[in-house]
Amino acid sequence: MQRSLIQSLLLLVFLTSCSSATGVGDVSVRLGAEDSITLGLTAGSAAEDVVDGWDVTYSKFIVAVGGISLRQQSTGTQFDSLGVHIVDLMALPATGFELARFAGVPAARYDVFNWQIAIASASATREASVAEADAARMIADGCTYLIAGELTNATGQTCSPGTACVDARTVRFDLCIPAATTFGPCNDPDGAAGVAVSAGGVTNAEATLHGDHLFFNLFPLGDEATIVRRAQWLANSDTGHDGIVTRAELESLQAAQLFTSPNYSLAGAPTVDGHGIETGWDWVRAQARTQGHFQGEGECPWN
Amino acid sequence: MSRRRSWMALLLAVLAWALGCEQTGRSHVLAPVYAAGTGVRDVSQNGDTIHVDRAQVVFGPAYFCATSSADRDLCPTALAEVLDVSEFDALSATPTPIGTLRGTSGTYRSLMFDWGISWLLSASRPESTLPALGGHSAVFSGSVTRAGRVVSWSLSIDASPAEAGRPAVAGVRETHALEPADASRALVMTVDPVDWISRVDTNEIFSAADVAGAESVVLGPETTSYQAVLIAMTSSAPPTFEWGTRP
Repeated sequence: MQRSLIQSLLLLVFLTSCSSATGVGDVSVRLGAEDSITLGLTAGSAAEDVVDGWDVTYSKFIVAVGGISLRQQSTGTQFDSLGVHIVDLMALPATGFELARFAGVPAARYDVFNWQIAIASASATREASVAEADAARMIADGCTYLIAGELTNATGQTCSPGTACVDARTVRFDLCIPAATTFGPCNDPDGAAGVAVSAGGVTNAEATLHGDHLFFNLFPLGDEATIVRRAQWLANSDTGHDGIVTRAELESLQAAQLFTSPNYSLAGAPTVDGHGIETGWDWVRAQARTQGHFQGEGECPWN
Repeated sequence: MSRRRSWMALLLAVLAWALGCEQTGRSHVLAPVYAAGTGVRDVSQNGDTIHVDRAQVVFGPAYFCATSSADRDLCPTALAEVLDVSEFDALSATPTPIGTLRGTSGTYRSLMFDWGISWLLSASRPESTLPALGGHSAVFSGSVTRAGRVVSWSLSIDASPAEAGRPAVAGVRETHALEPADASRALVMTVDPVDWISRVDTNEIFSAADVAGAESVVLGPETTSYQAVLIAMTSSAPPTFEWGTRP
């Protein structure tokens, strides 16, 4: 009787100790694009509309992305994928683009998920969605993003600082933006840290890019529900009045001319090359450093 | 014999409890906070000389957060706070007491704060918490000299938060491991008002003087100079915070 009791207890201890070893699974890390990239933004008064009359449409939203890291803090178990891909988010399949795949990952929660937007280089993999010339431009100019598109407004005007307003129904932009960023540790939309890997299957993790941050009126470090989207500042940046906004034009304009209180706030903005936002170009680079998320709307601190 | 064992067991239990509390408890921290300027009053801009003769600033409240991005949503509970709202002379390099830091031990990695104007969640608009300076966050005045011509200027900044529940200044990255020993030290906030004022557009000042036909101008919110100083105070040139011996 006493021996069988001891044996039962030993069996219980064995089963309990083995319950933490629950198998392994694969993790597929994919790149996803928010609708604000693929469908653009619409002028209007709804929560995510552009309030100052401009529609925004992208023709290219190319990014150099990679540097995936998955880590369990308590054990130090870590999985990394250092490869960088140059991808056009306007041409992603519905299921996204696989950035990395980790096989044989012990089932557990990996509470640190980081990913990077990187400076395009010759060692990056140019995906089929990206033209050679575009990749070459990004590499030559040290860019992380190549974003092109247009603003349209049937009654639009360009009102550059210090000049009279001129009619402008369409204002185009084609910007090669250096904004290297590490996003993470990321939380999913419910606030859970990182990724919970299941045994025996494939766990999906999505690094999500948003396309509306350039048009935010402030720099949220969390909830974006109260953000107002404005595009007039970009139309006003066409100081040459030729219908296209260039980096040089953005560099020539002070942030204090384009982003005035109370319509805008720069509180909490990332630094750019170690300094605060001083020009329109600094704003573009700073906002580009905030647009990485996780599993759709999950938050990722930027560094 | 059994009574001795009982007392020993009780003694061991109390000892174990005390040790356990020492290892897992957090301590309250109280420390004085001071504000100081750099003592600099002049700066050059494109051959013009800008002189600052007044820089009164209101600071507070402030919240110190464990996260590296102090903001309403990423720091719902602060590790430490300075609830005092105080005015100080930002041109003086002599530290001025402005309040008390109250918190618990642990590492803060960023802070957020107001310049005397806060927008509470329960309020319909931002409100100044200190009647000094006419409800403004800061009042500056001085002059600018160009080729012998001197124009006086003044500037009253309202650093209002952009929305309810949000601070005027967010995500200022400063790291410190707060501990009970900090009670014998002081936290000194240093501001550089001349750095802020150096961002004014002196061409705008002289043009405004020409238009007004007077050698004294008020730089209101409609001016680029005002907006540039506001951006400096709320984003690009935040104060620094350092722990040291009490002044």
